Amino acid sequence: MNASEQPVIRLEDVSKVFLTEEVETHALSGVGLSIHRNEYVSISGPSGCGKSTLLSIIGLLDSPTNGNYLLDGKPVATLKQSEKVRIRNRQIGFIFQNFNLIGDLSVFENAELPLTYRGMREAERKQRIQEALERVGMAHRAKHFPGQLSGGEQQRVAVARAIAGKPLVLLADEPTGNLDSRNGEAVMELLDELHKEGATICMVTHDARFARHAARTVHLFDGRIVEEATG
Amino acid sequence: MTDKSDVWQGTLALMVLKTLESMGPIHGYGIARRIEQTSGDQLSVNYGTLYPALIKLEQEGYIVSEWGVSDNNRKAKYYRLSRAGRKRLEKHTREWEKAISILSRFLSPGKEPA
Amino acid sequence: MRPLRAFFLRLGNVFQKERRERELAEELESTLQMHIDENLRSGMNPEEARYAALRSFGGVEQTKEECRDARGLLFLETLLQDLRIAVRGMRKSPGFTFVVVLTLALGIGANAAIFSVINSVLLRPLPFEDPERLVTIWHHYDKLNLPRATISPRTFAIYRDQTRSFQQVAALRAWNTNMTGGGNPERLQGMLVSDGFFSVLGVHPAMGRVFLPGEDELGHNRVVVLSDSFWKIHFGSDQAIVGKSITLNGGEYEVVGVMPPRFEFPREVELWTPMAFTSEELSSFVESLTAVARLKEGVSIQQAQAEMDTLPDLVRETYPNAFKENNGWGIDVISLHDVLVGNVRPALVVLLAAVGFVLLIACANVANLLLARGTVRKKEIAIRTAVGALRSRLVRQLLTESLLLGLLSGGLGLLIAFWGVGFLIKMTPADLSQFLPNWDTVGIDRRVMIFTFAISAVTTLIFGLAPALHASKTDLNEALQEGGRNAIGGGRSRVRSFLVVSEIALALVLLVGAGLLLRSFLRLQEVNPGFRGDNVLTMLVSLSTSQYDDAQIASFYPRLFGEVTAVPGVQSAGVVSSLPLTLSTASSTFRLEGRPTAPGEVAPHATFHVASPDYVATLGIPIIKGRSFSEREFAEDGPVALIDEVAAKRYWPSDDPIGKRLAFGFENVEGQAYWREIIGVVGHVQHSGLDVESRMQVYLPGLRNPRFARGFAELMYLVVRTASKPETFVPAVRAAIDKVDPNVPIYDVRSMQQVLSDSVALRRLSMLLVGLFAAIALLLTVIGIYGVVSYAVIQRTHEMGIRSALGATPGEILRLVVGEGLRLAVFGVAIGLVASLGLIRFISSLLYGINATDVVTYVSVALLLITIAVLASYVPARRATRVDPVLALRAE
Repeated sequence: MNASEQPVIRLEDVSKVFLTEEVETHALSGVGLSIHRNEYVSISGPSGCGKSTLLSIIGLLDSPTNGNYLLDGKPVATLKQSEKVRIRNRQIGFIFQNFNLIGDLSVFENAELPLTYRGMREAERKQRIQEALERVGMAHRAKHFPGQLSGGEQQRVAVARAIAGKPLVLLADEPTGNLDSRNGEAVMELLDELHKEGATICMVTHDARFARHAARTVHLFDGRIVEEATG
Repeated sequence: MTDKSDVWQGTLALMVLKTLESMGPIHGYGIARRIEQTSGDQLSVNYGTLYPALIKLEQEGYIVSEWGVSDNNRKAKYYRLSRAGRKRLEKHTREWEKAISILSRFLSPGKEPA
Repeated sequence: MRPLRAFFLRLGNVFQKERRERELAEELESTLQMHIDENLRSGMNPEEARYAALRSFGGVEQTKEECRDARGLLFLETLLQDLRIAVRGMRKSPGFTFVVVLTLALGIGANAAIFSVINSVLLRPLPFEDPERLVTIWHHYDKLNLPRATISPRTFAIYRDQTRSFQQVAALRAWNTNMTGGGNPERLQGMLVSDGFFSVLGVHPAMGRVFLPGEDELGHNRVVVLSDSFWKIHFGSDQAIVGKSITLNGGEYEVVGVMPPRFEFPREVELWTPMAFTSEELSSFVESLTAVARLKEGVSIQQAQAEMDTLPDLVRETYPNAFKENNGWGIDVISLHDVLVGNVRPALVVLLAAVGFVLLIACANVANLLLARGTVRKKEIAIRTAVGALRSRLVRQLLTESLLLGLLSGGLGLLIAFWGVGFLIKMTPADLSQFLPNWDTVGIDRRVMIFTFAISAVTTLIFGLAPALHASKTDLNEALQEGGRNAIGGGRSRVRSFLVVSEIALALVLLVGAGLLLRSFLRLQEVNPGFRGDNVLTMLVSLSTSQYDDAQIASFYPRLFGEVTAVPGVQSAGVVSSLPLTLSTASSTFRLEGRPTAPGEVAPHATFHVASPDYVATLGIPIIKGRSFSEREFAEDGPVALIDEVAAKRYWPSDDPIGKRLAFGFENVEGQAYWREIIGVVGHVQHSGLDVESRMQVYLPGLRNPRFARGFAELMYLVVRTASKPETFVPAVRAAIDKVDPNVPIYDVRSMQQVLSDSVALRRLSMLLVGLFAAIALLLTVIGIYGVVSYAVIQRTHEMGIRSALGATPGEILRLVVGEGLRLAVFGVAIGLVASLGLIRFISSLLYGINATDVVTYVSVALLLITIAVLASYVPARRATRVDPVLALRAE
């Protein structure tokens, strides 16, 4: 790993405090983390350790209370909301635990959504979605609706949606959490392949079996990084 | 409403319907005697249970009643099966047969349920 | 549905408790007896047999108790339980309950109010014996544009004596009379009635008698019958009134009877007196009588009409000189009820339809609210199902809740109706209500109450059934394992969208109706009435001809004008025999000098108005050519006349009418035509109404026929042009009249502006009411759209979160949500437009000057609704853009 190369994601002393009814909850305290291009990092830890908060901050869905976050070398703290939306749309691909497909839209339309928001022309959109669906092996289901698919299939569609926009980084939040072990394995293999093809992946999981797929594992406990392992 | 009397009432209703099917129009006394006879006098029908059951069945339209005169010249209320009652009897008979066949497989020794 | 059947049977049981008890006792007794018989047969002794039987019974009373439980109590218990749950639910969400009850109550109340008017005016039979056999007889002159004319004494005699369809025919004519003898002179609404009038209507006096045969002869006709309210108010219910004398028009009349309460025919009449014809009058063809007749038993109106259709030929044969012109004369038999209800019927039907629509919209709104709540309660219902509640049981519980809401709304609706009826009565001008049958009974009676509760119940079914069925169809797994749901969305309710689309469609129809009526009304306001209505005061000034002789009448008016114009601020004054827009016109055919009407030709025909010299100028009717009358011509009834521009164009299209002569037949003096020279041409006046074509007008300075002249003096309108607000001049003008003769009564005091406004009262009232209902409909629809879109936003919070996470900008989310509202609106508007085109022909009779397919109205209403739909969706859409994706995505 070339340390001099600029990391894709760089968190410096990041904290997140939630204020709820006069009680301060420290979800993250002083987290520092760098993820480089084509890295595959898994973030693990027990429930409530701040994994998801960390991922939301990385995904620009949430902002840190303190600390710096540089995405692709640029600080994001000063960005306007509309600029964050733009970056989220172009640089980040989300994969959620509960797939988060829209029930009223077909598989194709679901995968197409980020590209639509990007204002991409239809012909190009079509081609990219076709590629992405073929990549995850769901091209034959393009006209189906999420309700007609199994969980594993739905998650593959979500992956297609995430990679279709060729983002800088893929953020996966417990991608196997709602799948049985066989389908879970299949999705993990898909992520492995994507990683081999050059994707940068940051995955949150509490399952040690799946965490092993990543080259580097970060353990969170009570909002702090307690251990880093490279495997 | 899943106490014991309900279950009992459920089977009693079925017996009443079956009795009416085989006997035609008949009064409450006749129904009670017939059930007792059919069960080989193993069952004794309490009127405090039978009449409420008859009232419910009539309200739900499964049986119809009218006043008539009995063989020995007594004024009596005669009950008979309605079309809906006939359907209900068929349905319940099927259900019971099924339940009994399942139960008997459970209870007969040496055979494991599938 | 078995349980439903049992439900109703048990409901019945609650009311037939005693009979059921008796039957049960009998049945058990007979069973017991059979048991005893059986035991006896098996050889027991009677006592043993009885005890054994009782034993096997386990207690007769106990058995009875069990049966009672099975029969009714269970039902009552569940009902009470359902009601308890319903009440608890209401108390838990008072806002919801308030909105629902208020929405429905508005709809129900408006319906009940309108229905109470319809109930009295249209549905309630006239307060006469066998009212469906009562008819009226009219003439029509198609070629003279005269659809409904009164009949003459001569034709009345024919219809009375030479027809077979009627049991009896009577005639009546207004008789406005002044009562003196007790302080101020008083103007009374009287009626001259022919022999048999009271028996045609089938009413009997409450006190005394009605008229005897022979009292319709001159010299014997000084008798009157009083109306109940006149007797109560003026004579303090004097029990000894019969036999007393009252002074009418200076003559003594004996009171012979008092009619029962509620008998006023026509309405607001205070007294009746016999109609006594002179022999000259008897042979007259001057049409001044209204005929009312009772059909013979079993004779239909159509049969009577068929008989009357044969009469014109007979009349022409008998009286070759009458009806010789080809004026399209014919006779109509019209039911009395139809005549009285007249043009109010279509307005009422339109109003009922309008409130019906409002109620449907209210139902749709409430159904939507309940559906939304049903979704919230999904879990509760799922749990109930899981522990074994049948679907029917759930439907019943949900319907009980709806029923409670419906009944509450019905109760509140009745209160609103009480208030609404008062409002309606207050808003309806006397001009309009005066002739409406049973108007005095308008109010909340038993039938209105039944109607109210019936629509409440039907309403409950409409708004409650869909949500109940919908909610009870909950999929257990889905509802209980909400956390495990895979794909979100997909649950957007088609039912809800359907309801809102229907609401929008219904609101559009109402708005189109209101818009068309409004535009009609505005068009009407633009109609030039032919006179200047501002700053003119009018009143009826009645001279009693038994106190004023011809010379006195002739000198009265100049003195009147002198005094009135001396009032500071009064610019001019005049009198006329019939004021525009008051429906009091007389018309006649006339001859043109040198141009006799050939047999079979339409005769010249015009309304004629006796007017003073300054009348035309005072009312601001333009003098186009020539001059008005001189003082002298007015005083002496000079042989002159003014015609309006329509008559001028019609009969002298190319030459000057000034100097030409005309003569009215009824003015013949000893068989000789009385020729009048045309000295002026004035503007045409919309005499019969702003919305109808008025006939040609001729103004005369007096009437040559002395009998008519005297009759006219009893009913002259004084018109006064003032410098400022005319109403403020009333006391001064009254004082000026008193200076001439304090015994002259004045009444019907109005500004000309008021007369104009009263003449369109029915239109204004229907427009305002339909407008009001349309506004309510619009408000409800806005609430409906807002509700559905808000609900959709809440339902789709998660989806919005995903979209936002994937890079949708707030603008895109806004467009998405507003687009949803817009889509519903466009659907609704499209359906509504089609429905409007189908339905709107029902109000075409209420329109004026525009087409029922008026594009401006349709387009503006459609745009209005779409704009409002967008605005109503904007608020929830703004909320959707503020969805925090982190929270939304975590919420699951």
